[in-house]
Amino acid sequence: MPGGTLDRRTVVAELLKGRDELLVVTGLGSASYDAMAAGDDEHNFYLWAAMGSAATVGFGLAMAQLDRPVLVLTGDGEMLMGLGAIASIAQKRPPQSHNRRSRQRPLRRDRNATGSYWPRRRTKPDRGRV
Amino acid sequence: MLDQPAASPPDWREQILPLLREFDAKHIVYVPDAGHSVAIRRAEADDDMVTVALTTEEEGIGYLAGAWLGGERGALLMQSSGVGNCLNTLALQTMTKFPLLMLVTMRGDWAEFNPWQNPMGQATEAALKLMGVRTWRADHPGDVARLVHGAATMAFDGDEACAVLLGQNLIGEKKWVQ
Repeated sequence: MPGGTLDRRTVVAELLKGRDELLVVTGLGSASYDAMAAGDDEHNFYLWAAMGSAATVGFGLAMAQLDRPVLVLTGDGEMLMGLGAIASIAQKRPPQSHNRRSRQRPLRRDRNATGSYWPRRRTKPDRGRV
Repeated sequence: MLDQPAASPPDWREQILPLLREFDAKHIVYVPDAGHSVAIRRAEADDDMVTVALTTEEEGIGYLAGAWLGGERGALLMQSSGVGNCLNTLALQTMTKFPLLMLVTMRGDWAEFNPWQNPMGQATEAALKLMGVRTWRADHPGDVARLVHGAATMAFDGDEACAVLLGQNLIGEKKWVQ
């Protein structure tokens, strides 16, 4: 049966299972609470204001840590408040190297069960994401 | 020798990027601005530096916070109008205390031809101070290197938000050419 809703807290816990080397930045409010509920981790960075900045914080982190995957987990309002960040991120698309002497690597994309695309930063076995 | 011309003072525009390199400020984030064009072009040409053109200036604050979390330094280059876009986001620096170095070219400050620049230009220094940013003004070419060095030292050694305001008469009067 099509449609329905996802339970946000369950989805976040599922996303963060087996997180391995993942670095996580969360936007204020529920995104931060959900990530904390899944288990506080020293590689989480929680924002509690600076609304509109979560994606840019993740962006800067990804650009400084090109070998590690970065997840930005945030709410729709928070993302809308800094929607231009998507264009800024697209300019660089970490981990595509920003050093023009290095070989450019494209983002990998895998189709998940629902048919939408998850950009992947490296080849990893599928973790059964929702 | 008496017949040799005096050495001309270094162009302040050329001094900015070497200073930022001295402080390992690798990530140069900016909204394109004429006053910063020399520093931006040099940074783009430098394979050791990362340049990011932002869609709005406040993105630079989050970006530099993230880069700092990742162990790297940078600086935000913008025009005074962009400071207005940054105000709420500056609280990110207050709460997380990462080093935030901002170089701000001033508009609405001297011989401004466009009055729409005046409100924010005239409010820039006060607005930064209200948000807890330490500010310095450079109005003479000979002051720029010294003040940028000082602000960078205080930002990176003190985990503070520091801004050098580059006065409009440094940039010169905008001349329209037909």
